[in-house]
Amino acid sequence: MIKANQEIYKQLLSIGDFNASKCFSCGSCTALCPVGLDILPRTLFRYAILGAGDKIIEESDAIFSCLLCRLCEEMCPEGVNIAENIRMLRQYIAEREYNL
Amino acid sequence: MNSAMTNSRMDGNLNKMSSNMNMDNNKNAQTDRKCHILSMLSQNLSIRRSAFPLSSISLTAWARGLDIRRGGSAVLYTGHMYQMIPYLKGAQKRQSAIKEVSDKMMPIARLINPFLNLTGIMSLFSANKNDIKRYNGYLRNIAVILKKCGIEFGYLYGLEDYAGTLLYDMGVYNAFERHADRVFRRLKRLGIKTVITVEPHTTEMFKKIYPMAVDGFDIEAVTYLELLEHALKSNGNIFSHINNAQKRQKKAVWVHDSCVYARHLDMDGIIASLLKKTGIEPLIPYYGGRLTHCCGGPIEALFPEKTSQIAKRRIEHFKKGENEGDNGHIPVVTACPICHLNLHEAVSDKTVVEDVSNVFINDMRIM
Ligand code: SF4
Ligand code: SF4
Repeated sequence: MIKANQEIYKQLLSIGDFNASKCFSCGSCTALCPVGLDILPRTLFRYAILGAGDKIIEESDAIFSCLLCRLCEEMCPEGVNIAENIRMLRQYIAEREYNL
Repeated sequence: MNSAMTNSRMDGNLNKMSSNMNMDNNKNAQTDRKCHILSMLSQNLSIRRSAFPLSSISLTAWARGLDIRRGGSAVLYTGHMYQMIPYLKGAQKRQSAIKEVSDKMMPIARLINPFLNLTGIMSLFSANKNDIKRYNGYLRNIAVILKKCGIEFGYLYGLEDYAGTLLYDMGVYNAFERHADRVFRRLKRLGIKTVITVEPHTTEMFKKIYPMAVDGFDIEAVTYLELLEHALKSNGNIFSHINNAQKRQKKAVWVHDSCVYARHLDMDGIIASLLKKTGIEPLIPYYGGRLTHCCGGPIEALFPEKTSQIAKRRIEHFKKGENEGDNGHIPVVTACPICHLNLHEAVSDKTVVEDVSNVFINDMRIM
């Protein structure tokens, strides 16, 4: 079961231009990803919007294995800042979970 | 239900439970590992002003004998990246040899690191002399290119700082922000107005990230590639084309654009266009230019195995584009020390991976 907490989404929005809500789950971004993340960016973005903190922590390996290379962004029809959104999820984990 | 079936189902469930527990343990271990590594990088940045602190001698040895003035309003800014590579490579090899032990030692290492420079100790004696010579040589190339272009610049020697890229990318923002502020204040105190950068990561920091992260940041950043492009517009004769034998054979090289230059800084195409001006044919691989494929480097600190798989896949892109007669002899050219390291390590035949400064320097007038 997913535990939702809207505060988490608010925190992400306060970090910077976290524009995951623009994602409409088309999946184009995954076609070229050099890593082949264990979880799709769109799923990560759903967790973030829902404020599913536990799920974000659970997927921290995938979040930290993104190269921030932005190849996915070349494919995204909605102009989602995929890499920067993922970097902000790292910042959330580093601050909340790792106390850094 | 017969007992054999019950037993086998129970075994199955127990296996599943134990495999779930193993997965959980692995996940926890991996999570802790990430946390320990990021903590140590953050400690290093706060205490020693660099993610991978090296001695001042190692950082500045490349400039020996080049007669570069100290400071001035425009300085060549290495950001320590080329100098770090031989030590990172050595430390990675040493660490992978003792991976299990080093994973177990992580929590202790994290406690000791603030008092004892463990990354420094790990890198001691780990670098290969030829690697040090090679990467320092690339920096020397760049300084010579700038001089040939008539550009006046200084260098900060031991006062130059690492820009903090890794901590920013890994989301350790508090430590990064404090560091960036210190770097800016030092640059201002030294009267620096322009930094001439030599690789994409430090360039991105100064062109894009510092202006957002640091109040009042007003230092101009320009890459040596941009300065070379500019110099060529006003004096097309910088490249000699005197090597006629080479010209007759028309050398071709594969261009590996860095993701940061191509997509973060919109500088895709600059290397190919500069190469053309030297009379060299730039070959663009299947994933090239704006759609360049990453070398895997950005996740090396946390997932070295993934980095090596990605780099190997990248090398395949060049191999697929070669004709049978090429025999793997078309060099791959990079403009980033991290790309250079990873692609160089991924090559399994005679393919040479070269820094683009080497290609430029071999064809410039007056050496
Ligand atoms: S930025 Fe991350 S998610 Fe996007 S293509 Fe690169 S590795 Fe994959
Ligand atoms: S391509 Fe863009 S809109 Fe489509 S799933 Fe990926 S992030 Fe969402």
